[in-house]
Amino acid sequence: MGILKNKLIEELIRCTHCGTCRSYCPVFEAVKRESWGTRGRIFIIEALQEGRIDVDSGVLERLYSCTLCKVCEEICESLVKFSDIMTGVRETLAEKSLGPLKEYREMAANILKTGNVLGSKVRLADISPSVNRLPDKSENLLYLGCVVSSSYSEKADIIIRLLQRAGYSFTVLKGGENCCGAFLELVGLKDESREALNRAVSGFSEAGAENIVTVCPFCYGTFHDNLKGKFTVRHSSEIIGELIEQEKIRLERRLEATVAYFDPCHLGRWHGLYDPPRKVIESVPGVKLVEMERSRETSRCCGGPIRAAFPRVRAKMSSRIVEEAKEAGAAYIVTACPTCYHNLKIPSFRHKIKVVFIEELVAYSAGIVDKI
Amino acid sequence: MMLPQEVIRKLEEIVGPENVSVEPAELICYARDFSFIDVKTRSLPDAVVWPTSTEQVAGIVKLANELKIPVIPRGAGTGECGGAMPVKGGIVVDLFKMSRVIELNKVDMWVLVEPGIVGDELNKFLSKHGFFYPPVPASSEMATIGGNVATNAAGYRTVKYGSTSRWVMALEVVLPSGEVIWTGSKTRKTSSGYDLTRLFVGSEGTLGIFTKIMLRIHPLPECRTVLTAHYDSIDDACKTVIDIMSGRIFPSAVEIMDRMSIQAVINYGVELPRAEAIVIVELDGDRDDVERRMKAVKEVLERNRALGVSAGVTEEEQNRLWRGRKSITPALASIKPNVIDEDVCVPVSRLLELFKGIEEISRNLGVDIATYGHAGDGNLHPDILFDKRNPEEVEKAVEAVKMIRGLTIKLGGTITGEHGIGLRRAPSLSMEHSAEAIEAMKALKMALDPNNIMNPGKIFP
Repeated sequence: MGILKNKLIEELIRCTHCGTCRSYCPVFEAVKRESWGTRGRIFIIEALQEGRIDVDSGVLERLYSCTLCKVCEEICESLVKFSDIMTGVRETLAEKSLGPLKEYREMAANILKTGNVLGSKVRLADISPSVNRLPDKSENLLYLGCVVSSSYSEKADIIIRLLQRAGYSFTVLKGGENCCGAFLELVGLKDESREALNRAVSGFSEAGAENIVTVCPFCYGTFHDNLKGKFTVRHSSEIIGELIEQEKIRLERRLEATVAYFDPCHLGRWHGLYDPPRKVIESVPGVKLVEMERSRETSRCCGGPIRAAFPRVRAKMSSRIVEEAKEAGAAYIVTACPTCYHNLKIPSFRHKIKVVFIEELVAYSAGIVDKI
Repeated sequence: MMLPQEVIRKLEEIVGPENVSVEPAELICYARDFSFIDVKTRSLPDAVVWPTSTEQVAGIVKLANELKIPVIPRGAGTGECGGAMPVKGGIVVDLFKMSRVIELNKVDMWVLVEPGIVGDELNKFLSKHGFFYPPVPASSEMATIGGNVATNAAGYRTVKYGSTSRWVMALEVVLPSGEVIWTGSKTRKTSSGYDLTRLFVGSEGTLGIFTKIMLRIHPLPECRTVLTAHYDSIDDACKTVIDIMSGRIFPSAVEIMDRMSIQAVINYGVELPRAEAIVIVELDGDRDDVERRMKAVKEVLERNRALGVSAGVTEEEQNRLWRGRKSITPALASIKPNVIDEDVCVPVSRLLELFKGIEEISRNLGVDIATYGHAGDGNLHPDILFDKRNPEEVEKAVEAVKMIRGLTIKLGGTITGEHGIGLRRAPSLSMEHSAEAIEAMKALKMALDPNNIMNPGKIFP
């Protein structure tokens, strides 16, 4: 009993079980079983609350396979804040040492041990020759995030060169970043997420930072929501958009292609940043931006947050997005999230569609890279 | 009851191990649907299966029939009368994985689908070809066609196009014995033998499982127009409805909202005039014809003292005018946590008496009832608002339901216009049908399902 605290019980009661969320939950779409969608999870949480079911491995599977993409909140006419319920349940499970799942605990251990969610300790000075040309201190700090710094150093190089070419003055944490802890918060590890955030922020002042520019939408959200009044936090697509507008980035090379933009949950639904990335894409000459059937508020989710524990579900979810882009006639999917990039990349080969970072697209048009 | 391991192994042989679940987390979910049914009445199923072909459905049913295990077919679980809820365990057959469009015939104007396809998905597909399937319910965003057929569902446009039954041409049905039959015909008409199609439509899973459904389709109209008006009195609003229905207007929707529904929607944050009633009329067809009929509607509205008439021609304007009506369900949830949705239907001529009677019941019992619905069909949804944590409120809500159903029968109506009997209305079946009529229904049921395995506990008390 007592899986939810008072405020969240009211939230749970508001659900009328109408099942509209069945038609939007991307995990349900992949698995097609009631228990893997929002309404099913609500049925399970109600049963836990009323003591009608035990916390067994099947229950845990359902409670940790929600990606917290929030699409159910966008379409819920009863205005149920399901992500609050889900996070609340996960916090209780963690308090009672019943959760999170083993795979997530390993990721949490990675974060606290290496500072990177993927478990690799990275010195940024080692990943890109461009880093050494950056000043030691700057009021603008580019924060690459775990995925780019550990898996996509070539993209990091492109982003840094793009900003340098624009004459944007900035630096990075050369000694290495510490994971922002967003993932820990998603799986209900409240104390650990706070600890990770403190570590992540610890180097900011030393680097002279006042403005943080993140490449990763998860970092964007964590810093944006937790560092209000201390730092300004922007996503790289916003900064790049401004530099294009100020003609500091000149987009001269054409790309004659139909392009679909995939909204990352943590930029779009979580923080309302739908338009800045689209504006950037539209400013590339030759590009025709198309919307996928489900875009903006109802866009699907790539499955990133559940990747480690549910790889097969994640694979179906990301494939569906690539199919959707194909249906929209796109030759490229542009994403503003390294995690989405990572997940969309594999199915993209089968569908002969290219997935690119938004920064890469801009760098191509600006003549910084010759191939995308 | 737990299914023996041997039965589960056989089910796995039929549908594949990945399509059978006996996990508590799954069973908990399949014990529920959209309906408000007391926790004590619920029963966990023993297993859930997800077949992907007719042969698999037939295999499951045959096995269940041999072992006399209940079978509960399920679409999206969006029904409000508990039709998809097990009452004494059994196997839930979730048809959601059978959701293909098998064939579209534009010349003969039909589409053959599997039962798990969602209404809006079907209409999205048809619209690409210039057609639509009209009788989908308000829940078409999530409800499946199989569920629509099982409940003889209807919606806004039924007033012009009729309920589901008018659109089902033929069905592939797995009988309770596990045998597979086809009913109906691919032709536009037939007089051949008993009309089994009409028997199966609305049978609520008690006579068999549909595995293929052939639906009539309709060309998309050239245009649609929506008109709304509000009223100082429910009398004028009901008179408007009658005049529109009996005039040469042929509307594709005639909806009504009462004061309480309007109030709830306003509280919910949607802009609406504070009024005794709102009437929404939709017209569809050729542009010049719609314009002619729109003038006729406006005359009717004026004659009946309508206030604030608005018309919506563009899709955006129409969506705005529909928004209040479509927000009622969630808006009511913001007044009281629980709602019992009723589905009574009377001859249109008795609409006003139904409204007045419901108002009296609400006043006498001291229960909030918001009434709205498909006025052109005489089909109203009086929603009784209560808090399930308060036993007195629950008792009054249950009493209100009984009284509203009684009133409906007195007015020559039916206790359900489009939702079905299921579990919730089974105790009231005898209010509407004579003992002999119910015996005739039971005789049909027994002939097809002597072991009573198909969705037991539904329709019959």
